[in-house]
Amino acid sequence: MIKELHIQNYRLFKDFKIKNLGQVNLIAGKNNTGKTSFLEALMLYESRGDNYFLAKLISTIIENRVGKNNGFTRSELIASIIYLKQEKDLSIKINDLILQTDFNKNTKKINGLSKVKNLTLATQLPNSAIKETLTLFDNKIKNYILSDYYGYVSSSIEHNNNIRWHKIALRPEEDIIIDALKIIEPRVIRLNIQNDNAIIRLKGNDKPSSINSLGDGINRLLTIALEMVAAKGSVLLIDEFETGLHHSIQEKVWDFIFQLSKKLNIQVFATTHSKDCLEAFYEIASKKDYENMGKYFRLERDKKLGIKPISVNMRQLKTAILHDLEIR
Amino acid sequence: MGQQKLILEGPNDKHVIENLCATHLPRPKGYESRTKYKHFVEIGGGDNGVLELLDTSLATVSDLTNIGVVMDCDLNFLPNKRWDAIKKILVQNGYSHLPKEISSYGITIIQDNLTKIGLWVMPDNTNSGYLEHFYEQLISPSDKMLIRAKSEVAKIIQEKENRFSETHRQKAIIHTWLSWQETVGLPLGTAMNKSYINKHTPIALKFIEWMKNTFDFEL
Repeated sequence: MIKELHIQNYRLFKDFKIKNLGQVNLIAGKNNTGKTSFLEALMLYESRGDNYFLAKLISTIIENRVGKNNGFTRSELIASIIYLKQEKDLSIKINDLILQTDFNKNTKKINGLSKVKNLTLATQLPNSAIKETLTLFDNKIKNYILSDYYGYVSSSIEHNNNIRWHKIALRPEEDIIIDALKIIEPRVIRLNIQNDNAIIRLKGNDKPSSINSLGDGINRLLTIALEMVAAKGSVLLIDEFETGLHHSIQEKVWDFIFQLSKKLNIQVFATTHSKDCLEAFYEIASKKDYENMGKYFRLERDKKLGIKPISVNMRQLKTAILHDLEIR
Repeated sequence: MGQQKLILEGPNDKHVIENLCATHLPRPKGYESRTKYKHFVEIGGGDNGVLELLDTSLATVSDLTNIGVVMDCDLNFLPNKRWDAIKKILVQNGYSHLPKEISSYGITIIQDNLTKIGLWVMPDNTNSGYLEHFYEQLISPSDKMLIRAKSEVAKIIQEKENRFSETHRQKAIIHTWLSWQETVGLPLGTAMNKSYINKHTPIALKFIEWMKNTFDFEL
């Protein structure tokens, strides 16, 4: 489990340190305080500098940030995405392992990791790699799974669930997914996903129905559940937890996440803007079953450090919610 | 513009202090209504609640510019004990070089890049007591009913007929006194608008001075 994290020179993060991370972490902060970048830094680290993966990651970041047909050339975008303008070395330190670049020697290394590959960062990607990125971006974006290294739920309601599903269909993990869907629709008994269309069978109905007929929330929940199962023993990243989830079910979704992360040994990092989400998180994180599992912190701009974390413990969280203090 | 917060122990403190402020002060900067200090006044809920709220506010809220704290000084100790408890929280949150003792004007702390802090310990930063001791000083000392309420309460205690604890003697006096007015038994805050309460006594003006030192008000 990631206990400590130190990010240097990644986008807004000049010298960011946080200790005592929990198993389920909720991250808030105003706009442009680096919530999404924080998740990206974790992705970079979790990918362990795998070239092929990095190319995929970059193309995904591009899509998430600027969409398609944005008028920029790919290389401009890539250069703007990875923050290396001042040629400062990027370093992401987790517990005792470091992923870092070394521009002076023009070599890239991963200290302390046994599997050392050439870590090539975007600004230095050879043309062939950029080509590969673009090919992936253009042709495979619909089809590929973001990562085998971690689970990832983006801030968009649209998500490709197809491949994740086919890895677990007809296996015991399928039951976990059905149980998750029951949070929103207790009558769900079967699920199938074909060409991105999820269809379900409801108890008492002879015909299958499209999952879309049950609203955005259940689609979001499906994605979270599939990504969690895929993240077994690893990390799950959720960008904007509240997307598509009505406040009345957020507690139940947190309960599911806490329970499953315990069972499957997953460490969760979720970002939020929402007060409802924070309150629902507190209600579940303060349960006795999940003692010491939850951690809440806010990202804030800082002149010297770029971004700094403000940690709020459970006792303070309770006081803040009780008195309606603004701690997001 | 950041937020300002006045943290109090309970609803009686709130009603009395809000009324006093409405008489003497313009509205605090950043708050819309002068009479209804919504979100400006926070009730901590007893002394521990106040300390907890102060600590949480300092540690976790980013845009607080001013915090004022009003606490009782229970009868078994002196105002400096309250100041010591507050001091401990301030030090944990990055404050340094804090005064050793509270003066009769209360405490005001201004430090670079940190929230401005004020502390007033009821009744007067010098003696032990609580809101009802402060309240008595808004009543004319020659008020016949006040003298009588005091002697009746003393008598009840002397004869061991008191159902209230002796530390609440002053509460008994003030509430008895309130129950002997034209409108019987008004709450402390509501009675503030009656002619038998003087909002310009030395203690009232001293408290208002402390408010001015602690918070920013609209001009």
